Amino acid sequence: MTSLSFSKIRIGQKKFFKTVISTNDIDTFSKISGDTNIIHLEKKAAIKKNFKNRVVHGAYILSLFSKLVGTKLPGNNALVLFMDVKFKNPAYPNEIIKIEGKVKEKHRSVNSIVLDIHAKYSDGKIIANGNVTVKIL
Amino acid sequence: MKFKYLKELNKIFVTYFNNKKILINEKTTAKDIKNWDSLAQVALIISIERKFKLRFSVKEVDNLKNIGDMVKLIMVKKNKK
Repeated sequence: MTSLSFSKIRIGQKKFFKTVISTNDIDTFSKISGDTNIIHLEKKAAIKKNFKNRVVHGAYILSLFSKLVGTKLPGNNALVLFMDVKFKNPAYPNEIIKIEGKVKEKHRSVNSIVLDIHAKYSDGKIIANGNVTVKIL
Repeated sequence: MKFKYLKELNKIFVTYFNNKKILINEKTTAKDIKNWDSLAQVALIISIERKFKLRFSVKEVDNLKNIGDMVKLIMVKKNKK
C-alpha cells in the first residue's frame, strides 16, 4: 500500500493496475448496490439491447478509480472529493481492463491534487475517463 | 481590474453552486452563500487557481476574510507574474 505525501507527488506522475471483472463480481456488485437491471445480470437481455455481453455497472468502474486513488496514487492518505467521469463504452466481464491515473494539477493551498483518470481495454478502447479531485490527508 | 476579477469569481460561484442568482461582492463571506462549506471551499479555491493560472499558499487562503480579500490577493499575485 502506497502513502504518498503531497510533496512527494509530481505533476505527470502515473500509476495503474489491471483487472478482470468476472460475472460473479457483477452479481456481487448488484447485491451490494441493489442495481439489478437485467443488462447487468442476464446475458440474453443484454444482447437484446445490442450489447455483446452482460454490462459491468458504471459505478463498479468508479469504484476501481477509487481503488487506484486509495491504494496507489496517492494511497493511504487520500480522500476522494469529486469525480467527473464520462462513460464512453460498455465494460464487459472477463476482459482485461487497465485503470490508470496521472497527476494533472497540484493545489497546495487546499492540499489537493487532480488526476486524469481512465479505464480502458488492452486495445486502448476507452471505457470511461475523466478527472478525480483528491484531498491529501 | 477589480470589477473584472469579481465578475470572473462570480462565474465560478454560479457554476459551482449551480445557482444563477448568486451575486457576490467584496463583503461576501461563506456565511452569505448557502452550502459554502469546507468541501465547497476546496472546490472553489481549485477553480479559482485554475481560472487565474496561479497558486495560493495555505496561509494566504487561511487569511482570507471575504471576497474582497480574495480579489486583492488575485491582483497581487497577477501583478507579481
